[in-house]
Amino acid sequence: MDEIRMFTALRPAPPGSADQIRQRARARLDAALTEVPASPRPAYRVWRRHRLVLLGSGLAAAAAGAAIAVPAALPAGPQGSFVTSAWAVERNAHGTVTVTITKIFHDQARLQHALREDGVRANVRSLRRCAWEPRGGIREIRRHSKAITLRRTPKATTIVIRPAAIPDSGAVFLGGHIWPDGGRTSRSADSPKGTTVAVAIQYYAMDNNKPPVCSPLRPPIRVGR
Amino acid sequence: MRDPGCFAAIFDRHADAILRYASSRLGPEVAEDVTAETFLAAFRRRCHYDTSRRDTRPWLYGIAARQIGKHRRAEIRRLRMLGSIPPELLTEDFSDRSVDQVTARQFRPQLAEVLSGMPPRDRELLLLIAWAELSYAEAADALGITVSAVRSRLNRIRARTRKVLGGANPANTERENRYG
Repeated sequence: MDEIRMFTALRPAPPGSADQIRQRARARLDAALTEVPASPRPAYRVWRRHRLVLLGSGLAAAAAGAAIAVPAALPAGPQGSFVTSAWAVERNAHGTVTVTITKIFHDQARLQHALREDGVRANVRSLRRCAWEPRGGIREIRRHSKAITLRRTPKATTIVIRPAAIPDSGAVFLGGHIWPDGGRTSRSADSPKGTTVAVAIQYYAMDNNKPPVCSPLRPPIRVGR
Repeated sequence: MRDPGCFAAIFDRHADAILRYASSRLGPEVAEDVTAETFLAAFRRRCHYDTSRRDTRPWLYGIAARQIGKHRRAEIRRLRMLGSIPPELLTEDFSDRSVDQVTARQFRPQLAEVLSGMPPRDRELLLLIAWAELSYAEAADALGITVSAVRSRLNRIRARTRKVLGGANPANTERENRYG
């Protein structure tokens, strides 16, 4: 007998839950396929390992300055809310925090400050020059997916943060950028090719509160306004 | 290949095999991550895929091998555990009492020792052939080496295995080669 065949016989039995494991892996791939541009440019490493959602023409129009639904520049509101012309942070009765975005991530530092003032450990960054890598990889994103979720409406994007679901020593991350070519490199943007801007958002929860690592984009994405 | 819908079909066709291979090497807990990461990596690299290839299987196994390589310590632990399980506690179906099965069961600790002690690149090649059941040419394609290199490395592995097992194949000495 060939020694190689002895190793064949040593192979462990396949897992009993193979179907479930395959379905979960498929779900993760499906999620990634809807989030990754169809014709990736090698330099756009932003697409690696992130929850990255391209938003459609409704928000794109808002990002271009056509429709701003949120009242402009109010400092701290009376009920734990913080509203600017680009975004609003609101504390809900059941303990969650809603971030409503109309002009994508203008003034990230202020948004980060507002979230932290509201008791949310958050890191907010622009995706213009960097993709931001969580320290710990894709598994922690899956594990803490309840901590931060995204919802789309025609007028705005809302990100719901559940502070109770953030790991004890962890934090949430929010990043965003404007896509100036109307989603030309994006399969999932609703807008027709080249007619408007599209918007990308990156979000996840991570195990630690250390700032995520910048993974430089070359060339940087140009802001379309 | 470059269309996401087409890529999903590739997943459906090959995911079971990749998952089984990853699970054999790292256990079911890590296999899900490895399978998902393998196909995500393949999707990202699809622009570099040589469309003249007739089969995507070696390409996928090559990517899976790199993903598995990130869990080297876990694999060594698993192999050592595999070798330390007493034969009476094994749960595999040994209804197939072929010479291969009986011999492998008998020399399980020694074979596990050979596997855990060999260089990672040799182990990768051996398991692509023995567990993933790739041919020599497919394994060479997956690892980016020549078929001659495959044969050379396998001969080295055979010699090392014989040495650990006491200098001779305990079952018989007839050399079979059904892979090439």
